[in-house]
Amino acid sequence: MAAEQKESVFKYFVRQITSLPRTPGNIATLVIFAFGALITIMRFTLGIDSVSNLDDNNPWGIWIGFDLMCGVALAAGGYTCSSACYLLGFKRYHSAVRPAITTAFLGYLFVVIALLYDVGQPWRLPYPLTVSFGTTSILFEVGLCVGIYLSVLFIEWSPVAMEWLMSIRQSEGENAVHPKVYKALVWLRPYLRRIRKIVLWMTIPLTVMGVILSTMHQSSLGSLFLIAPSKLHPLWYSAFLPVFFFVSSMAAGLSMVIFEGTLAHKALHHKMDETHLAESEGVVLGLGRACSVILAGYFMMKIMDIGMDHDWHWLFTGYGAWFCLELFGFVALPCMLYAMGARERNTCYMRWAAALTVGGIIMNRFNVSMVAFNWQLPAADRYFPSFLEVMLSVFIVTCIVTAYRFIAAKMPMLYELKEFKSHH
Amino acid sequence: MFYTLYDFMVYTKSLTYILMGVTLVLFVCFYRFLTARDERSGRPDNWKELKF
Repeated sequence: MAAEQKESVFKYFVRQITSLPRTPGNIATLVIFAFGALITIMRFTLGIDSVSNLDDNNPWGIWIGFDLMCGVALAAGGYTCSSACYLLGFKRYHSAVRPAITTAFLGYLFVVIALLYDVGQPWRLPYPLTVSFGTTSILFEVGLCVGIYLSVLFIEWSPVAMEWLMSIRQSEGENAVHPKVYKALVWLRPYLRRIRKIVLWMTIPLTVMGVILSTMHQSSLGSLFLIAPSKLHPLWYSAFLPVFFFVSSMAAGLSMVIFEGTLAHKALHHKMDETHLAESEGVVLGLGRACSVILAGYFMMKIMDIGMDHDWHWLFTGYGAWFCLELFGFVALPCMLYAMGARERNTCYMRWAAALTVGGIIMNRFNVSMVAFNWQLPAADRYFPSFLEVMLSVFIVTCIVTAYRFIAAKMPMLYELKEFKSHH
Repeated sequence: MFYTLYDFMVYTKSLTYILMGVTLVLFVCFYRFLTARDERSGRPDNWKELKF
């Protein structure tokens, strides 16, 4: 204990990190982080050309198509779950709200971080909101909404961190908290208690804001492509792109909650309290049923859109086959699996449907932003991501998973602390 | 072949109206498929009472 007291706070945190077990997963994470650090240095010292295959024909690549488009869509579980629980009154989904909000917060946080790699000059990130207002641009609206919604999500998520910080107690041995850190935590405790109370009091307004902001920017991501009718393949281009993006984001969010819940159930079963374990089946069945109705509506809208634009003849081309695979394999099939799961009360169908829906959303965003974009260009001018671009996306996903694992292991996300149980 | 925008709109709109009618009927069928067993069993909407 005396030796630990002499240790500096910096060394204490380094010791905490280096004392992590050397499991294959941790070693793989470390290798990916090293790759990420290398790509970061290259991107910000040698320029975007050194790490990506982007050019004037294809200014948006995998960092926009996957990190941003898919990240935002899959993070929609935050507003769908919290609005179901707090606005629509489905209290039986309460145990799903915290994991959903955590996933959404991490998703949006790393969307912004990934965007910095694509845009460059991170110090200019606040420019659209402070120096040069681009009020006629859809990107301005997306940036404004994502910025505000990230702040809203942070506030919604903050009770998890505050409850964890307030519950830390001093212990003996290797797990002992550094005395200076502990002293700071004890000093912070009454302030955290007050802030947490205010945040919980703000739950409903925050949820309402979350729904409004999500409605705006989820659809605006689709609107970004309205300006390029000649570049996007007719099967994917539609005047209803904003509606498609918004509706599909609801299905993506709900499916992501089921998908992430399934993984958490397998890997972090021991971290869940009785309420979470008891409610998890009901959450899957309830959200899956809602998702089947949304996917059915989405499927029908897509069919009607083909009729509206008279795109039937395109279905008999190569792109048409790819479109049909997306529509039937990753929309209609999970919709029926969800419906069958709801009828049979079979969560196995639901979990497979959730995985298919998540895959379908990724496929759809890839198609709109990359595969079907610039479809008329010769193959030599088409975009294909470079190895380093893919590695950066892997790095971003690894960061999200690592942060999620840390939060799930340390913070009261999958369980409730006794001292705060009555306040939720 | 469409010679005017009007021709195109008349054709696609009429087709879309038919599709919307079919969609409405199909959606009712889908909803009945989704909820038929709930109604028959008369199960309460309370997950804690359900056996999985």
